Amino acid sequence: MNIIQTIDLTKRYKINNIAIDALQNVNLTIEEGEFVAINGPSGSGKSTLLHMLGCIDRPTSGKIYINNTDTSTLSSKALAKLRLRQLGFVFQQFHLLPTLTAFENVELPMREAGVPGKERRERTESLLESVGLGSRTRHIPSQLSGGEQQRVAIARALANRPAIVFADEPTGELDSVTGERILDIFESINRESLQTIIIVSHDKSVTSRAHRVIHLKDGRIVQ
Amino acid sequence: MTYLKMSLKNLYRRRYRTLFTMTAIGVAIALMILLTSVSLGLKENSDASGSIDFWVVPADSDILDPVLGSGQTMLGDVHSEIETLFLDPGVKGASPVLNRVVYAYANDPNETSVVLAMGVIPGAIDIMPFAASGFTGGDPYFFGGGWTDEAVINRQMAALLGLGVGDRLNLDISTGIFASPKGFRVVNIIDTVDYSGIPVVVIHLSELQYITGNLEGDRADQILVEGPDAGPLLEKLYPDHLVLSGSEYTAFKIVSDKRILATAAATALVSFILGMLFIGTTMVMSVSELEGDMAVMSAIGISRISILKSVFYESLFLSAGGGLIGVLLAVVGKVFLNNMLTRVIGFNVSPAIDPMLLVGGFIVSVCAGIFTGIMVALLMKRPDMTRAF
Repeated sequence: MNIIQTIDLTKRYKINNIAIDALQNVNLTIEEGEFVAINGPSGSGKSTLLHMLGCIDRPTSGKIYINNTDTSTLSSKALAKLRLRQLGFVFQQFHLLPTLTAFENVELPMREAGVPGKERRERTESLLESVGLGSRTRHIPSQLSGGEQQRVAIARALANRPAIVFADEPTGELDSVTGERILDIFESINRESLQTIIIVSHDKSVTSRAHRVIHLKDGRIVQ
Repeated sequence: MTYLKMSLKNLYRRRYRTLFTMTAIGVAIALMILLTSVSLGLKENSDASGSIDFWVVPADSDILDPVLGSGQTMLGDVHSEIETLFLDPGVKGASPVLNRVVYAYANDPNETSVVLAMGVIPGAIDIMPFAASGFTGGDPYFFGGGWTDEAVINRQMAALLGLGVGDRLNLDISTGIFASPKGFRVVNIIDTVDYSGIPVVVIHLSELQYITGNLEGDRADQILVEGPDAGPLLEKLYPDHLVLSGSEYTAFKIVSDKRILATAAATALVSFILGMLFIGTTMVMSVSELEGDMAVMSAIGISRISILKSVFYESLFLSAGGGLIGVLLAVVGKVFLNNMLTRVIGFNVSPAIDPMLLVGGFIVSVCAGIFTGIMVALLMKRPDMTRAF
């Protein structure tokens, strides 16, 4: 089943009255349970595509369907709800909230989604355990290493059991060994929970693990 | 709870700036409380206060009545009322009080001074000036006994007329050819902080009633009652008058004296605006610093309302902290103010730090925080979620 579909997706920016097409008529489909890598040179539109697919930004024209829902018909509030419940995000710079503990960071999306207290606590502990941080739940981000922070970020992304997990250069700030461990986690999520994983990365070790690689150049998909 | 914790931790992260802002708010609130207290204190120097639980005042009375002496809004048959009150076990003490501005002189009738005369029933309540030693207890003249000619004065009056214990003074409501002063003997000089602001002479109630023409009708300005449980009885006995507890009486004084009311309103408004400015400046800086975090929260699906909650809570904590500091500064500042006033002006106005004023100051501060928090939240731009990538 297609979990994501784009039709003639275009994003145009105007800078000093000059129009720049970051994406031009992108048509793609991603099936449920796929592990997809998106790569391309700098300025190819990778991040812009991720913003579009993750409902972070709206396209200039074209359509995006997520689980058969046309996202162009959704309000900002509805998109926020969609991101909260169906999408998960892992950022290159981890972006954990610095004043909250690992536990509280992972718990936050569940709290927002109205998950009851007991269930929330149990799932948070289970997620942190699954990424190997069961003993570091009370630590704040500044007390965790880069790899540990990224693992907490992955646990946070999985909090509400999203259908799709987006990751933007998740190993970009990590050493190769730690990066491999992070990719192991993504693979295991994809294999065991059948969650769709979409990773933007230059890293060859990412593309080698993906089921499919989408190459972008100058805002278009190239083969 | 998470957003509360986040906002507290954000404030702690920038603790020096937080402390500075709270202190600035606190100073504004403390000044508001102290300025209003000084106004009240000037008024209170002519009031008995101490451990009074209730004041009974005519419904449309004004605090200028002692000066104007119009007699239009007064309580009547007060001696009889007091006897009725004392039948109730809940009443520990009670006395009517008549306040009038009178002319006083010691030896030379050409050297009169305007002073405040208080007519009370000595011994009826166990606080000053009712409990000043030297007074014959009760009110003998009213009940057919002799004129006691006893007077208790304060240090101000003693200095004004050069009087000591045992000296004679004369009191009347007018001077000139119509004057028929009554003589009194000073039996005691009160030297307390509460009675140090203006010259005051305290005499038996019926004797002041006689001097001021209030004996017929047995009139007084107010009845003071000691007894925390006396409220319901008083409201039953005086349905047409105001029965005020301690804080209510403070509020009554503020509201009925336009000058005190104006001072209170002006200082509250200035403190509110200053509070808003300090909190607003800090919150704008905070929102700017937290833009990245807010972008991430928005990207992962946290609603705008939830994000705004943490902004609002920060503003609230700043204002509450500032309010508490303001209350503390006011209490401590009272001591310094007393010392300074005594040194500079020569007498102590004894600023009355009524608990109601402290609560009022705290409320003004919190209101400033709530208002500013809402304003900042509403004016905040939507976070740019692409910043998270």
